[in-house]
Amino acid sequence: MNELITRAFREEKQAIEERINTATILDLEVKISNLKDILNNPQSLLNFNMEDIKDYITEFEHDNLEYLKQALGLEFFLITDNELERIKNIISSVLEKIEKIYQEQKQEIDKLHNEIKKLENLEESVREIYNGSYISSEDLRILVEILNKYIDISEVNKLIGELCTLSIINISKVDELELEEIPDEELEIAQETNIDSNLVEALFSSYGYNIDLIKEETRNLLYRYGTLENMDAIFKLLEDNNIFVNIKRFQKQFCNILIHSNKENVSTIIELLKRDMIVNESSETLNEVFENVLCAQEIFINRKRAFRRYKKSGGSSGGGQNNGGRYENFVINHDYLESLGANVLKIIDSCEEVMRMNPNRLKRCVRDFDFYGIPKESYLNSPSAFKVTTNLETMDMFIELGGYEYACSNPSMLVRATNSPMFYRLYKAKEENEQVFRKTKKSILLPKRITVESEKGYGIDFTNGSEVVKQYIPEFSTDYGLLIEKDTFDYNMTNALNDELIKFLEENYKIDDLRYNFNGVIISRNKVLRNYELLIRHGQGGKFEALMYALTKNSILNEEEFNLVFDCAKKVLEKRGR
Amino acid sequence: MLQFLKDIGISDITILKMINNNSEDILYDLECDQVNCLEVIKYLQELNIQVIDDLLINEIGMFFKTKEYLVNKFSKFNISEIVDDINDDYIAIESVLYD
Repeated sequence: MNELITRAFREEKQAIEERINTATILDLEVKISNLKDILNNPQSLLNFNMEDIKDYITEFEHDNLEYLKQALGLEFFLITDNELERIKNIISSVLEKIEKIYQEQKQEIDKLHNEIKKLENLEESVREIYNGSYISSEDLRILVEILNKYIDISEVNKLIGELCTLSIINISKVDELELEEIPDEELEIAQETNIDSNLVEALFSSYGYNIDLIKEETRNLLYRYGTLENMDAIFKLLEDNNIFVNIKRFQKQFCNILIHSNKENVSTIIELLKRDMIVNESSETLNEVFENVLCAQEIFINRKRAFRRYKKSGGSSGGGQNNGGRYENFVINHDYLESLGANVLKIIDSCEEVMRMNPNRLKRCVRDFDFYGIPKESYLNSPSAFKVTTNLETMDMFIELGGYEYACSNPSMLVRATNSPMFYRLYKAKEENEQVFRKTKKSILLPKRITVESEKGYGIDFTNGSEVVKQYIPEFSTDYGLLIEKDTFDYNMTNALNDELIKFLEENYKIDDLRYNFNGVIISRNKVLRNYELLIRHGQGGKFEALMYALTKNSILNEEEFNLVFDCAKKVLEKRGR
Repeated sequence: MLQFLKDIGISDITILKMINNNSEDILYDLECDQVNCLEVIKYLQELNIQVIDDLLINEIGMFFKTKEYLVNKFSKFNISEIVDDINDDYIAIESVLYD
């Protein structure tokens, strides 16, 4: 670990340790013990130093106690029960006060010890980054706070940049470990088995299926690559669960499962579906639910098993690309969606593609939606939204064009590309002060002149949007886009938020967590922070041009609007010059 | 790929967008389920839905549903209103599918 970081941790630890005042607490412990002695034996007041409690009692109580102490010391003076009681009352009240202070002090010390413990854990987490681990954004925020106290800001930026980069590399390594692509040569390819067609027909018949409903071409695959044991085990499992597949409709899917899947996978899926049916109080039958997932045949097949590829005895498997099954994806996605509180059956029913997609992509989509505050119930009820990877940039477009609520209501619309004619049409509508968003009972919709391509609303099609709205395309001396594309955003914007240029924007133009307002031009705040963060990590921090790139990336602005943003942002330079 | 869609007049551009927007696996599944898919398209045409291309590109999952399933889903709505909504903004199909 970097020596500067180690030193900062050491100094922070020392600073906390210095605040731990054990002397006071030991002193209080002695006082409490002495006072308790007096309560048990008032005679011990004689040996008690009244100065010890002077600060905790009134002058009257002090004098009273002093008088009683002296009286106790006189042999000829007989102290009454009332006087003894008075001693006890005063001492009890002092004891109570001191015990309270003692508890507060103790809590403070425990808190400081806790802080040290946390600091040590954080130090360990940072050290672990160098051993292949990664750090959470909250830990990173605390780390920045600590480093800022002991190290020069420019050095902090450099160190944090390094740690972020390492951390991101490590995160992607973890992702790869979970879901590494199976190299083509490692795929298990179905071998020819050439089983007797009569035996297969008999097997089908024994479970009540008419094999003649399957087209000859598909049937031949069963004879050539299936095994009787595997088919029998799957048929038996289905029968035990009262599932009878419509083999006329699902012939290709079902035969693929019989050839490439196994009893264990089918059983796991059936059990998950049963659980979903109970959790979501489904009114469908298991048979119906099962046929819904049957459309997505590859979720029954292991990732290592080549799906749709076969091998002739002694021959090669032929060409073809890597296409293993998606069973593992289904199981991981199922658990993940369930943990989010989704009605998994509904997702299977309406968009089962989500179930087989790469789990990392699914998780990333969810993080994107959360990042922009899209309500969970909205995206979980709109599963097509998980199908794309450009969510963040599209969301920025909606924010800048006044369609944030529309996107929240219809997150599937985030599938649109940032250069979709729809955005140029939204710009025109905004320019002409048209109210295009229409609320219905269920959601918010747009008119066809905005959404339907063939309508050519406002004269805009796929080719001329930029031209029609007179979009200003600024030129930059560096290809910042290329730098941004090098990284995947990790939702950590600590560097950006600590940057002086951004601090200026935050103070002067932020209207809420989603938007900056530059004299009427709305710019997505997350877009700026996200892109600028990545640029900082590539050594572009503090550069005004880089900031302008982050501000205007993908924005549909005419020259006048661009200049408004520019004029507002450049005020930071004036501030810098002062 | 997806020749059966070309055969009923779906344009090459739409097919290309379908390929761009969906995984090879799901397109293969659609090939496997083409009889059903054609029935669904026919039903949507009967309803006078004019944005079938958009639905094929963006909501491919619905073409794996049976006609009966969709009839049941649509029956919960005022058909002409919801069809107008869908023709305006295809995203309105989500109200039908995910209700």
